[in-house]
Amino acid sequence: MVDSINRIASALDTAKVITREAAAVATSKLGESSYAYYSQNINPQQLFTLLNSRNSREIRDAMKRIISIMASDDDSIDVQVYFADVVKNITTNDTKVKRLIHLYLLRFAENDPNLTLLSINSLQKSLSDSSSELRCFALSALSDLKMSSLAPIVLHTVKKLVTDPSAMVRGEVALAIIKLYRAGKHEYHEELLEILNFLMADTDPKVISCAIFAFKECYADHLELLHGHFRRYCKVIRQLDSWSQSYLIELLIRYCKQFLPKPTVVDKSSEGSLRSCPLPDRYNEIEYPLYDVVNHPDLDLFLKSLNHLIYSSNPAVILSCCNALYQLASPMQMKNTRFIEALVRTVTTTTNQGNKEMLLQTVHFLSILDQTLFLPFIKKFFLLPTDPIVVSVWKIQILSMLINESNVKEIFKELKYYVGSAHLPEKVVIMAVKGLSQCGRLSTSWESHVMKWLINHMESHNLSASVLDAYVNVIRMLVQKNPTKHLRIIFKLADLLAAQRSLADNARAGIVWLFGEIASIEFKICPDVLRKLIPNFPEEGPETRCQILVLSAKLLSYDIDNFKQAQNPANGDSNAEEYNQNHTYYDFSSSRISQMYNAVLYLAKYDDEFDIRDRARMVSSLFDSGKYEIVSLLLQAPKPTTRNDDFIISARLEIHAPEIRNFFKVLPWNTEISEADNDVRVGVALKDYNKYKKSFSSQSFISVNSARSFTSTSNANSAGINDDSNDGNGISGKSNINTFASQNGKKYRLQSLDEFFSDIPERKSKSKRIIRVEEESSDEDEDESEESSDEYSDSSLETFSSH
Amino acid sequence: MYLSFYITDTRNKLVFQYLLGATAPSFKHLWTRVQSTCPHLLEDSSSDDYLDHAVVGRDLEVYKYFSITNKLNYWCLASTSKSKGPLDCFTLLETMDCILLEYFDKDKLSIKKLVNNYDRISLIFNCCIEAGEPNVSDMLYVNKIKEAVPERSDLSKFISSTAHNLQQAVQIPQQRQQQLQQNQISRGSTSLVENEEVVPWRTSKASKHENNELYVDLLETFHVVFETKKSRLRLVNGNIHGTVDVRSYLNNNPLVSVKLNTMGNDIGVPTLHECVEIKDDGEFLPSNITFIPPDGKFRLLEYSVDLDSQVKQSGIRINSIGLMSLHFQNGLGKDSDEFELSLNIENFKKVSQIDDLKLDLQFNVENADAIELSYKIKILRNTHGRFENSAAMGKGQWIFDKATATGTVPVLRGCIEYESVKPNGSKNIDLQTVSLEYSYTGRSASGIYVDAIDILSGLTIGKNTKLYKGAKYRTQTGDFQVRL
Repeated sequence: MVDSINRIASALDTAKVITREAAAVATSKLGESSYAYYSQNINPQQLFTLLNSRNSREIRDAMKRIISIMASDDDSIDVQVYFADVVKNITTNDTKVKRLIHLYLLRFAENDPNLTLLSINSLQKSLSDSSSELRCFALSALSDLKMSSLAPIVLHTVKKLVTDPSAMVRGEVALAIIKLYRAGKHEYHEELLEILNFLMADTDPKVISCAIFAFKECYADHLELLHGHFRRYCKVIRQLDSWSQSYLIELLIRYCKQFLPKPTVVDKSSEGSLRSCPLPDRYNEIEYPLYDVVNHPDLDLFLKSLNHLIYSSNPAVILSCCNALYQLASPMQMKNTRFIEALVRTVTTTTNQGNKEMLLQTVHFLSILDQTLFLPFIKKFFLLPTDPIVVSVWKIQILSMLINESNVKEIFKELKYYVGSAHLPEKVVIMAVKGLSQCGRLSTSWESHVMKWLINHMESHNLSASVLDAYVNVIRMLVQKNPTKHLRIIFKLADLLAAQRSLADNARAGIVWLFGEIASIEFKICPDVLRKLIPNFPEEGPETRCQILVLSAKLLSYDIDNFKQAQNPANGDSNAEEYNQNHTYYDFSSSRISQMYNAVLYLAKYDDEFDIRDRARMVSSLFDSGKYEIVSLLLQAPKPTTRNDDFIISARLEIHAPEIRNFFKVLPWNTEISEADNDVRVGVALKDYNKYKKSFSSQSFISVNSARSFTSTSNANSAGINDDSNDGNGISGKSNINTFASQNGKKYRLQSLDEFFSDIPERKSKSKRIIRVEEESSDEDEDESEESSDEYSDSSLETFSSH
Repeated sequence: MYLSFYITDTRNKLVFQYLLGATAPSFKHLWTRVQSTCPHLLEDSSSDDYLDHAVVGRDLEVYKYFSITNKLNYWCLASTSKSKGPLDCFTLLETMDCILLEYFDKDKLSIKKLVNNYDRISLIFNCCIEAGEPNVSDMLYVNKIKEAVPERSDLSKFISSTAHNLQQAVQIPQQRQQQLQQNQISRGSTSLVENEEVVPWRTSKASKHENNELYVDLLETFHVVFETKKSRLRLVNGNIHGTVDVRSYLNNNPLVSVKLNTMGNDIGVPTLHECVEIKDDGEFLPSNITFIPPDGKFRLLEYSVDLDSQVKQSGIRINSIGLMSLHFQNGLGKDSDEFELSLNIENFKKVSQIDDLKLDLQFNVENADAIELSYKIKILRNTHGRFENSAAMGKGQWIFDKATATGTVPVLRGCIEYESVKPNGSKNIDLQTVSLEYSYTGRSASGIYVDAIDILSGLTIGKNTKLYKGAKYRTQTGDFQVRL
């Protein structure tokens, strides 16, 4: 009787369900956007109903809605109020809903630890599911719950699953280790390390990938753990995930520096010479023109293994390989591999702005150390019309680094074009001007060539103030380096100053300053320059006026000094007394220079700018005091020659990002390595799970040569890498595990979870407990759960009718 | 460690966010933070102070990646760590962009697509990010993601599932009881290991396809700068960036070989998909690329042809590329204020038309001149398309119709009219550079083509299933500039 009522009830219920589904479909019209429309119209009240529905489709709709709200940062609905209703659905058979609940928990579990515990039991049950994906999911979901009270349970689970036959699950175990480690419980670190050590001996590349990642994240300082795996990892590196490849390379670089002897450089330039030295610490400092590098065989193995990664589509891998070569090999070895080519290719083809900038900085960084690395690729750093400013600026900086005698013509021409292009952004033009100064550094003839071109260009074009500033800076820099050789240019500048009234203030000021400096070398022309400047003093800009004042003061100071020098030898020391008495003081009134100075001073004292008035007062008080030694000390102090780095347009564009500097930081070689250490890298026992695998047809396999072939043969190969007799490994490994699990299994009782549930409020726990009990006796199978929900319907029918 | 991911449109309006914990800030919070600490992050790449990553708090960094194909900004918030490589964050964001494209099998993602699939995209992110880092257990392969996050089920699946539900509901509970017992028995015997996949990038449960299809798309984008030298063009620098995309819908686990004929071009060190077989000595030959393809769309190969070194080695002067060659002259006419531009579009059998041809003309007007000088560009003769003066100084555009026939020689002649009297001594306004923009299908710029697509083994073709193969070529300009 009861049974038949049940049946009728369930049939009715199903009918209801079907109509509701049909309605949902009708509104959604099956299209994606119509579904989204339907979904968006689910109101908060409906969400409760849907979440508590027995129809998996409705739950799914509700979960999708909740995830959408989370993803769209919608403030109008607070999804946290559904916590209990969401979490209880974890018992569903619908994997998608499970995953969606995982997303929800990932985000909110921390906020409500008590309710989160509701989900634990179901997740733990899934850990022993027959589907490896579900096991994987359950472990990931469990370890993602950031609750310290759960740590022992997760640890226990991790220990249990470390011997799981599925590689996917074992990989997940490694990731769970990271999560546990980060939870910050120090007492687990030892245990976790033990598990990780176990995983690192796995034969499956997927597990190795995860284990390496966990190792890098948590135990990167325990490099000695790599001893037994070094040679094997070098051989399997190309089978790993690309992210793991770059992590592994970074780890192995550190390993090599720590445990392998420094390579020796052997001179090969002359026959019979047996000179050799250890690889210098600084890059590109090998003094022999021709050399060979003798490496430890393990280092050779590592460097050779990198060659296979050259085709990687992950730029991070290419960069890591370059770093390995930079840290561990000589420039010659670096050039022999094609990684530089790969690096340049990545730079030119990537559309990823951020990566492009970083890679260009890398190129710049490396080219500072060794120009020759990138010489064959200079044209790749010529600007393209669509290059953004940042890229252009770095390209020009690389070009300026690469200038040498043989390519200077080409680069100069190109830079000239950039400087002359009015449509290029200002920063790029300024950078190109700076680049020109690098061309000038090559030789005196180039120096004057560059300056001549700049002055001509300055005369004939209307340039903006900041560009002009750069021009003058460069000219100043080049003149100052070698003033006597550039007198013609200096004359030209004097003409320019007189003729080009329209020149911007800062440029004129710069030139005037330059004459003040030249006065010590070529005094004769300077007074004339000053004379020409005075009549137009009021029309000059503030900076120029200030510099004219300084120039006049400097000239006067030089003139006084010259006068004294002329007097001293004439008088000699024959009559010191006479000298003191008859010492004709510098005649201020008759000296032309002094008159000019006075004129300027007079003008400056009534200047609009208080700065100029101040200076005028300072200068005049200096001269009035009569202490000319101090004056000459102040005004004739030799200026250091400006370096190129002295004028920086924008620090961000010209200084390597800290990431790059950190990345390429040279690690010191460990110098205390005894010969005996060689044996430590003998392979350790491997954990091979291939015997669990069902056999599958081999016809579909690519040969072992494939970049990442995961055939059983390749596994066997990698196992065979350890030339020692490791045949029994699988078995020995297994016995290991057994004891492992049983040792620790005692500590943690799974069933203790029920105690957790007692915390949960009564109302919910009651209905939920029913489901849980049902679930516990049931299995994953669909019809199975249908039953549980059927019986469940009895109790929920009342609630339903009450609505 | 990554804390959160965001996708925004070009105006930085939130489209999607994925937060990895309760402490991760929502986009609104991040936004206010970014605005106060590093507003340069919000500028676009053409601006001076553009930034793509910045520190926003103690140990927190924001990274930004702009996807050119999708016109979307991807952001992530990550904690500063020393073990993080300089490229990691940007590369991850780019990878995510790629994965989404491949997952939805689209050429371009619309915002609507993202909004409609919030749940699915959240799950994809969940798959790809594990423990706050990229999931290294091969979950970054789209096939794997598709397995974990199945694609949207369509009507037929819905109907069958309804029917299934109905069937289940009518079943007698006792029958079920029996099944339960049976299940329990059978479960004991089933092994915990399934047949795991042959290769990580291809799922063992690759969906069944009605037909077997394999298509190769070869796209070349070329960047060249020419300069005119005695009425001839000389290559300043040049580079062809080629990508070979494959769309594969094959049953079973076939071994495919694609043979590329490089026509003597050196493709340097290409980037290969993991599936491509490489010999033990690390050598790779484009003439025989063997691989087990992942299901769906993927990028097989990315190469770059260095035109500079080619010119150096072969000594052949390249004066035209991509079927186009351009000449222009200044100072024509009796007042020598006219310019003429002639374009020579080569005839090629397989290319019938040039799409969206557009020329950007840049005159040498200096910014400072603007106040003193006003001028107008007047077109005297124009064989094709139309000319547009640009608002920016010294710029103009010659825009062609959607399709231009090959084998034609379009000519544009114009003169510069000065509105005010030309101040003495100031220079003539000349045409300085011309940039071209166009694309065409049917041929690659370098001439590289697919010789053969073979399925070597592993594919069983039934009676009713057919095998379709094909290759498509497309060329587009990245940069094409001709300087005076």
